[in-house]
Amino acid sequence: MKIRLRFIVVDAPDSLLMGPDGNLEMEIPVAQTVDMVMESLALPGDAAYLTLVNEESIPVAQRNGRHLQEDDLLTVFTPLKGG
Amino acid sequence: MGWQGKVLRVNLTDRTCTGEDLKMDWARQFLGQRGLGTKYMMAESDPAADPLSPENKLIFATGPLTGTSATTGGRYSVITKGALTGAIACSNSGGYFGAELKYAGWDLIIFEGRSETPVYLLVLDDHVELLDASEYWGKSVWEVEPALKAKHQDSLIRVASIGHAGEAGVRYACIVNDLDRAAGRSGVGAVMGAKNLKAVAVRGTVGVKVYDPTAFLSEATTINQRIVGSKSRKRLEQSGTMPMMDVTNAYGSLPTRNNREVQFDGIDTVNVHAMKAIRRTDSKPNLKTNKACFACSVGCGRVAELDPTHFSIADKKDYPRISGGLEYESGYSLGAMVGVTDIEAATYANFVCNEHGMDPISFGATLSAAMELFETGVISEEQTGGIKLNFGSAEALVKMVELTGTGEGFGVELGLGSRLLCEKYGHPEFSMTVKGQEIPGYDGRAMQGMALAYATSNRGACHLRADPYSDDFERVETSGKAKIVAESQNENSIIDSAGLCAFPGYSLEDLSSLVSGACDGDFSVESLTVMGERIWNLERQFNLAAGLSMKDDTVPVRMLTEPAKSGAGKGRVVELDKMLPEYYSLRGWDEVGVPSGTTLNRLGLAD
Repeated sequence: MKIRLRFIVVDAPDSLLMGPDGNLEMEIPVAQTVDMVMESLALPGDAAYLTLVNEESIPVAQRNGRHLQEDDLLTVFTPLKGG
Repeated sequence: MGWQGKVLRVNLTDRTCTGEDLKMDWARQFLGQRGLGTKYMMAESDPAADPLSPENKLIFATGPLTGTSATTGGRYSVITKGALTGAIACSNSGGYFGAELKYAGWDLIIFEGRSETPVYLLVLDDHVELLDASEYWGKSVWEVEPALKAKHQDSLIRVASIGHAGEAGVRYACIVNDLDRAAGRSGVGAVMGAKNLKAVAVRGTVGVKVYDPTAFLSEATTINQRIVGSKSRKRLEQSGTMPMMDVTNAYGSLPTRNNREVQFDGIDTVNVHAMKAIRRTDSKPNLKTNKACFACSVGCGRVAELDPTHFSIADKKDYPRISGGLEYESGYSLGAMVGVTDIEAATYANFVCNEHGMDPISFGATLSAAMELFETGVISEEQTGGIKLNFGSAEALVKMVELTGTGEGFGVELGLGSRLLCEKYGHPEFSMTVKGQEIPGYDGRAMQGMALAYATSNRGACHLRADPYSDDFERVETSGKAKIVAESQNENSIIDSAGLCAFPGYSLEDLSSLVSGACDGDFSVESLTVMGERIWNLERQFNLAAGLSMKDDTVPVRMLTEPAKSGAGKGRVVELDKMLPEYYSLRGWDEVGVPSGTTLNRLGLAD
């Protein structure tokens, strides 16, 4: 199935070619969790990443139990502090 | 050591300048800057006094690390009773002025009374005098600073001054130093203007001593090396705080069109990518470069160059086109909050805020309230002087920032701040303020911790008094937010009192090692934790004595009653009723937010 992927203040992995709208369509097996997709992205391990599925915030501790559906938008971002 | 041990007291009424010893027992209890300034305010002034009266005091305060080699150790604060809020105000600024004041040998300057005519204070180490400022009254920050350097024939003099806004009594007027660094919030510039004090010009040559130079240098170097190598520092250097626009927009916490929405459909026009995009008109980007404050290895400051063909400056050939650029807060307030998709117009508005000395957060959020008053038919072109105040109008933004900065036309009403403006027109619910201070760029419906931080901030809505960011961006639920907010409020009180900036991400261990190296005394992590709590409670005592109460610990009614339309907080309102009682309990306050006798005794604040 296909999901959409978006990175905010995170460098997308070189292996991914982002679309002009900043999103990427990604083919994943059915029943994949947020955790599994995050692991497959292999983002650098020295930063914290937070996730949204569509408009819902998915805490790190709940990524393992959150299954993705067809056409979900997974947003990966870095928790900045304000100024 | 760390401290200079000297306070300069300037009585503007009788025009006397007197040096006196710093109360060292207070310095060890309240550290410096925010904490120490508040202690002097509490001890010497009447919290119930009108902030614009001669009875209010205005304190410029450095911290024990100001002027040292600790990274970002160039900060100073202005402490007073806020003209915008009627609450304790402490507004913190970077640049180079703070370190220069410390180098001149002073920890604090306390201004009291009111001068009959405009004056400025000249400080050349121990040589201190009040001088006539008649020729500078009516001039902008950008005119006064170079003029004072030229007059005293010293380009190394550092100047903190007010512009037209402070003279005109704009309730959110700033004190600006180094042309575009500002003690920006709560209207400290309006207090300075009410005292007829135009500027403070400082040149210092006595330096700063620390208690244990070897230990201090070692700790400062180690911490600096860690900061220099961090990803967050690199991001701040390259992009400043503007990447936050995309984060809050994606998360659904970007205040948009006076918080009627929480995501901005024009985000791509006022974000970090828009700042860096090459313009067709002159083949240059809006963002020219970055810059750093004294002793800073982060360099988050933005320098922007305006498009010379933009309508805001097209007929102003001599207008300085290069100045401080948009940062997240000004990007939010002059972009999404007013619905403007023209980054050059937002940048120009930010320039004018620097030029005339105004807080861009409060200006933008006040204009957005006026836009809602206009679009709902409460006010019309009759009040605005023929200008259509529609959301998204770059022309309205440009015209209104000019009128507010110079105190003309409808700008006089915008200078009241959104609380007084909306009350005047019978719609207080349009005011996005806490304790009279306009909210920064985070909507509390998706960021419940930030909502609690706003509600409980002693100086009114503030994004720098607490640090709920990481948790807020991970989960919307309210459980545990009270503890995160209270503990980070205590920690940030120490950063603001030490002479440092919040951006490098100092831990309490870092602060302990730096302050212990600079100052003689017990500054263990445990001691600093209690000290932070002490400072927070002292500010609370000031506010209670000023007449504030639990009813002021709230957020804009829109956030309490209108569910967010989209984003992570979709369908939610701020659940303050779930967080505030727990917060009071954690603080050792009673059910109406008054610190208990036990708490005050424990913190040494009982008398």
